[in-house]
Amino acid sequence: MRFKKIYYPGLSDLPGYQELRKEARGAGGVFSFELTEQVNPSEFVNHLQLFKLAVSLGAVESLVELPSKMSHAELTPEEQLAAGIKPGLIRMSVGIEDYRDQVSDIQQAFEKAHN
Amino acid sequence: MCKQSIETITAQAGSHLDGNKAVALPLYFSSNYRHESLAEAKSFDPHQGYTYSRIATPNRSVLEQTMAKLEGGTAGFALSSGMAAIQLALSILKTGDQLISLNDLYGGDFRYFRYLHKHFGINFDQWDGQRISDLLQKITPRTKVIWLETPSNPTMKKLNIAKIAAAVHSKNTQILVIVDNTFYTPVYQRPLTEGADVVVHSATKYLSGHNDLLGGILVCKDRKLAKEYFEYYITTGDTLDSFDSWLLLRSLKTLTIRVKQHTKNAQAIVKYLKDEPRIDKVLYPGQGGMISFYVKDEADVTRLLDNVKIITFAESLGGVESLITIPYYQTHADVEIEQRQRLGITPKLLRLSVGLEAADDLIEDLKQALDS
Repeated sequence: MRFKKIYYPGLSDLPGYQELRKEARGAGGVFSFELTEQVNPSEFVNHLQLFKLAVSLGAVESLVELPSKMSHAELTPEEQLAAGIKPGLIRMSVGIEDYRDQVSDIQQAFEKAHN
Repeated sequence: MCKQSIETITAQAGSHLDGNKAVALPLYFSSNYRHESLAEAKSFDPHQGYTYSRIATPNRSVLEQTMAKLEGGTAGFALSSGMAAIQLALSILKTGDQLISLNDLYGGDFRYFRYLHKHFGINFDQWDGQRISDLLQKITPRTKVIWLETPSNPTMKKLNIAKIAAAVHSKNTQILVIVDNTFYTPVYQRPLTEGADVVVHSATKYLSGHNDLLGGILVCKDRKLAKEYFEYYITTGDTLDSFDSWLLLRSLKTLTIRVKQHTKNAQAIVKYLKDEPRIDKVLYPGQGGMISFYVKDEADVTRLLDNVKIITFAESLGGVESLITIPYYQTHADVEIEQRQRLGITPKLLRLSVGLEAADDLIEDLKQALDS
């Protein structure tokens, strides 16, 4: 197992799912996740090639970032934890490349980042 | 600070910075920039690299560094408009602070001062630009900024920046002397080298020179002040985008020759206006392309504005195309009526931004309009 937890508004086991289904028509292309201890998050992120390590989101090109060090670096470690942002949390903004290419990129990064 | 002449700085600005060895600076449209690795992202320095366009873009950086060099400052900021540059300049003010300005400024400044007073309790006073002793008398322990335009818009008042800055700073070294240098540009005037602390531009005017972009510039000397401005600037994000930054840098390459030609043309037109019996008074500071003049008969205002063919009746100034406006109804409509009267901004005052057309053609245009 590589994923400890996945945060995506379209997942029915997450709080707020029912409200989302009532108020929104979809769940979007951005999600975040925590990896298991067997996978080094820095190594994983560094080895992705299709997913570019950059801030921002919502674009046709796939992006990946670490909120604790990038998009949410303004928050103190305490504020981050209170918001549910763990140091190893990774956020992906999925672009419109072929999803098979996206998946193989993630898989090859896992191979290299496995302890 | 670079000792190169202004023409050399501007002609070479942005050149030789491309990895592909392009002579001209490329245009970087990107809203964001990749990190090579997480380690690099963690140790990121916004003054060394790029991450997110609100913080910096290559085109904006080159423009800002060039403007800082031209004005003799240490840091430059490129913003979405001249008013945005003014907002940045005044971002250091707090409730209860006071700003003293020249009484003759672009109308939008006064509109913004009124907003700051109403919403944040910042106080404003005005000085007529005549006696420095009067200005010093107005200074209180809460005075933080002296705001000047020279030559002023539209009555072309000329101030001695060096004398004013020296007098103000000897009373209180912490007061910022801020000069709006839009009309003269660093070709004719470099306020920071004369003792001012901050200089702003509506880059829309002479710096751009082509009536094709809206932008603002702020340059300051003190590094601590630059840090404060940087914090506000990257947080509020009132930036000049990459395309306009690229355009503006392109415009700067011809700034010196344009400004010199504006002056030549304006001087010829001033000569004509002074001899023209239908023109009452001419206000011209001696350099630059801005001329204000009063007509004798108010009907000639309509004749001119409705009938000029080469000169265009439009807002703005500083472009290669000549423009004419009527401050009373346009640029200075935000100035209180009694103040307009006191300053001599009447419905008979017209302001001409002399472009780069042939001076004779412009004079003929004015004549035929008056004759129609």
